[in-house]
Parts: sequence; structure tokens; C-alpha cells
Amino acid sequence: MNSTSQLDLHPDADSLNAFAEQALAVPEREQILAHLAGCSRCRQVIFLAQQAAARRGSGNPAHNSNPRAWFGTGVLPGFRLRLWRRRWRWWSPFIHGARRKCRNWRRPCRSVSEAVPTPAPQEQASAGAAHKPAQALAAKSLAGNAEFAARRRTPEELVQQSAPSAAPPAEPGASAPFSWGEPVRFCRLRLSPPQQETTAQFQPEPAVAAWQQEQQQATGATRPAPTPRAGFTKEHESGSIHRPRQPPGCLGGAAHGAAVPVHARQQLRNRHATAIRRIGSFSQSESAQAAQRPGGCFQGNRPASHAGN
Amino acid sequence: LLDELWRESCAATYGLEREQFREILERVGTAQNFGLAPEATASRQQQVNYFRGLRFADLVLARACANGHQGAWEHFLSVYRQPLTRAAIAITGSETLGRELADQLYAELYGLTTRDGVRRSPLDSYRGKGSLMGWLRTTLAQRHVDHHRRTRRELPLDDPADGNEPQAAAPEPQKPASELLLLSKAIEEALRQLAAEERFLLAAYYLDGRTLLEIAPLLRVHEATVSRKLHRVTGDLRKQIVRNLQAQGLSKPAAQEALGADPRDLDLNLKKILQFSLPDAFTEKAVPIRGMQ
Repeated sequence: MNSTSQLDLHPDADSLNAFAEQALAVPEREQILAHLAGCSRCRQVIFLAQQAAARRGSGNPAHNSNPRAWFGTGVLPGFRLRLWRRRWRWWSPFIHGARRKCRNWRRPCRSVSEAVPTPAPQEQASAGAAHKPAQALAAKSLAGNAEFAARRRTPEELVQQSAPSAAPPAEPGASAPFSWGEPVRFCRLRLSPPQQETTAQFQPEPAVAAWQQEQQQATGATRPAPTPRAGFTKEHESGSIHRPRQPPGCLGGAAHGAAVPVHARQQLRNRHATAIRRIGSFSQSESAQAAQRPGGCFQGNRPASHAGN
Repeated sequence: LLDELWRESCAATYGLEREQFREILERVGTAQNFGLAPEATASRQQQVNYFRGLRFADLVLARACANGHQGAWEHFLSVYRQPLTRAAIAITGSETLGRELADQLYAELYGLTTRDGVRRSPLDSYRGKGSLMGWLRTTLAQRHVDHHRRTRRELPLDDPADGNEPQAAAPEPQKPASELLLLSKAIEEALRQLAAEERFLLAAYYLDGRTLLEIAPLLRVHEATVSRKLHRVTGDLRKQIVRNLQAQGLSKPAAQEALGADPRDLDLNLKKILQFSLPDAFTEKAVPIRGMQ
């Protein structure tokens, strides 16, 4: 049988269907492929059957025996939408609860200070002598709160306290800057014994004291302390917020709210306005002089001898 | 294994006894040589693997319907009637023609045609390699293609005496005939060296005009893979043709120049070249053009 007469023989429907469904062994598949390469009739048959199968998948699936196909082909979109709504209704309490948990997790110091009541100094002293980890942790947080409460006093109070102080000054950088959104693992607590915190007088840092003196000399009067943000009054009073310490003249803390004092901002605004005013007057005078010149053009700050050239 | 398969296929519900079931399995296995090459001998393990891959539920239903079992026909109609009608409509592209085609197939499946006094049903030829629904779709497509080819050949030819169509000018030979002969021979040799899948790819894409999306499911690859294969096959084919021309004595520039010949000048029967399957591979005779009932 030559190849020409081979065109008159075709694989049966079972073989073609098995080929389309990938159910043939390799030798049979090679035979079918070799025949399909030269037989346009069988190629047409197999492509037509394939198209019919594809349309059956996208046609009316009410007769489809697989219920999952109803949802996959969009048979019952309304029902699917209702199903999703029901599922959302079931899961919404858990999702809201998880969101609240996340929100609390992002405020570690606040939650710790609210959970642990402020003890008496005697209790803090006894807690400092204790060796239990939980008590030590609570004592450390309380020590940090007390330190912050002492730090956010007004400069007058700080000056008054620094004068009769006999205790050693606090180490700069002992309380690390802490922003509002940082997780708890970045919250460095003070490691000194809480008994020393409660009994020792607060000593301001040398950089802070020098900056306050400069401010007093510059302004000639003592300015009020920076006003805390309206929403954080309660936390400030309880001392649970660790505000970052900013060096004098540092504007990098402006993004954190009240890091730059109000008077410093006002001073910067005044300088800026003065500079703009001077530039404006200078340019007006220059332009008026240039208008009086014969050329009528602006010559800049060049000497009069060069202006005529 | 036979008892296990007989129980799993629920053949008893359609009145098929164990011995009948065994005969069916023997016929199916020997007809396909258990999925092996014709000259190979299947071992017991290969036979078991072959039988494990069959769809026995569909096979038993088809054989029970071919035997005329009433319960099997009721089940067949309840499951396959509407999908079969929809498939016929999809194949023909017309609801009227589709329903007509499906009804014709139903009559054929029911065994209205007799040969030598014996009812013949096409369901006897189903051997369970693929799904029964797929087999029905393929059978419908075969009927439709055969009908289309028969009716297309019966269309009247255009009358050349009308004079509406311009007469084609006599083509002038642009290249020497010897060079075209060399090119035809080189192309034929290069095409014969291609694998079956590559020849199928070229025929389906360039001769039939099928899209990558239509070809990809048959090869079980992505469309992008089909595109890459096509690109690689055409590139390799071009290089092979140049090499064949060089082997026939042409220089490389001359071989490159010969590739620019007009394809209409070549006398090539691509259908004959691409058909390169083994003889006696298939036993189903094509439906006679005028003798189809």
C-alpha cells in the first residue's frame, strides 16, 4: 500500500477521539499524527470535534453533570454573588477582630501602660529588687514612663531641678527615640534599676540645657514649653508616650508632629519673610535703576564704569 | 482482574454476563494489540495496564445499547441526547442541520441499518479509549465532513464561456527548469525528514489556516509553545533546504537565491509529501463519496 492509497484509509472515530483526549500510547499517537499531517479530512474532523467540545463547555451548562462547572462558567452569577456575600458576612467579625489586634500591636507602649497600673513608689522599689521576669519588665516600663514624665516638664522646672541635683546626670541616649508606629521590638527601655529612677532627681542632658540657654539668650525671655498634640493629651499626662528627643535646630522631627517647637518655627518663618522682603526691595530698586539707564536693560551689580561698555 | 473489572463497570445492570464481558475485552484488546505496535507481543502486565486505562462504564453502556438493552438506551438518551444535539448544532453551525445530523446518527446508533440480516450499530466500534461523548462528537464531525465533501463535489462548475473572469496569462519561466527541479527535490527531502508532529504543525497552520489556539489543545501545549515550535521548524526547514541544495552542487549564494523562487512555479504535492505514515496503520475505509447512505 503506497502513500496515495493510504489517504483513503482513516483512523476510526475512537482513535481520533482518543488522540484528542490524549489517551493514546506513544506509537499510536505517532501514527495518528503522521496521518493527520497528510489528511485534511481527519484534521477537519478533529478540529470540528474540538470546537464542539469547547462550545459545549461555554454553552448552556444546566445539563452539565458537574455542579462546580456552574460556578466556573458563570451560569448562576447572582447565586455566586450571594454566596460570596454570605461568606463575607461569616468572616467579617474575625477580620474586624484581627484588624483591632493589629492596631493594638502597633501601639505597644500605650497598651502596656494601660494594662499595668501605676504603682506606688514603694511598690516600684520592691519591684526593682524582685527577680521575676514579668515584674522586672513591668518595672522597666514604669521606669521609662516616669523618666519621660520628668523629661517633658517645662524648662523652668528643669532648671530648678538641675540646680540642687546631687545625683549623677542621666546618660544621653539612654532612652532611644521612639516613634508612634514602631513595633515593640524597637522600643528600648531603660535598663537602670527602677529604684534609682524613682528616688533620684532628674538631671537634664547637657545638650538640652545648652540649647535652652541659647534660646533664652536669643529671645531674652523664657518661652513656654511646646504644646502637645491635641489627640495625645491623655497619654502625655500618663507618661506613656516616648517622644523623640530632637537636637537643637534639627528639623528632621517635623514629620512626627511636635518635634520642632512652635517658637522655632515662628522664628524660621520670620527669617524667611525678611529674606523675601529684602530680595523684593532689591530687585525693585535694581529694575527702577535699569529703567532709568539709556539701554533700558538690567545690568546687574556691575560697576558704573562697565555698565556703559 | 476480570471479576474486578466486571463488578466496577456494573455490567450486570445492563444484562451483560461475565462471559460476554470477557469476550468484549478480548475483542477490544486484540483489535488494538493492547496499545502496542502491530508486530509487538503484549505481556500480561501490559495487558493489565491497557485494560486499566479503558473507560469501562462507557464501554459497557455502548455495548449494551448495541445489543438493544432497553435500560441502557434509556440511560443513554437521558445522559447524551441533549449534549449530542448541541454538539451537532455546534459542528454544523445551524440548528436545523444540527438536529438533522443528530437524528441521523441516532437512527444509525439504534441499528436501523442492517448488513447481511444483522443489525449494525456504530457503537460496536467504540472501544473505550476515550470518552463516549468524545466519540459521539467525533462521529458527528466525521459524518458532517463527509457530507460536506460529497455535496461540495456535486456543485456545478463555473462556465468558462461567460467571459467574466479574465484569462490567466501564460506564466513565463523566471528560472531555469533544472534549478526548480533541484529546489523541489530539496524541499521534498527536507519535509520528509521532519517528525510527524512537525509535519502536522505545518499542515494545520499553513495549509488549513488553523490558529495557534486551535492547535495548542491537540498537542497539549500552550499557544506560545506552538508559536515557538513553528518558528523553530520553519527556520530548521529553511536551513535544511539550503543544505540539500548545496549537497546537489549549488553554492551557498546560489542556494539562498533559489529560495526566492515563486512557489507557484514549483510542482510539489505537499499533501502527498506530508502523508508519510506506515502502511496498514488504519483499517477504517473512508465513506464512499456517492455510496453513503
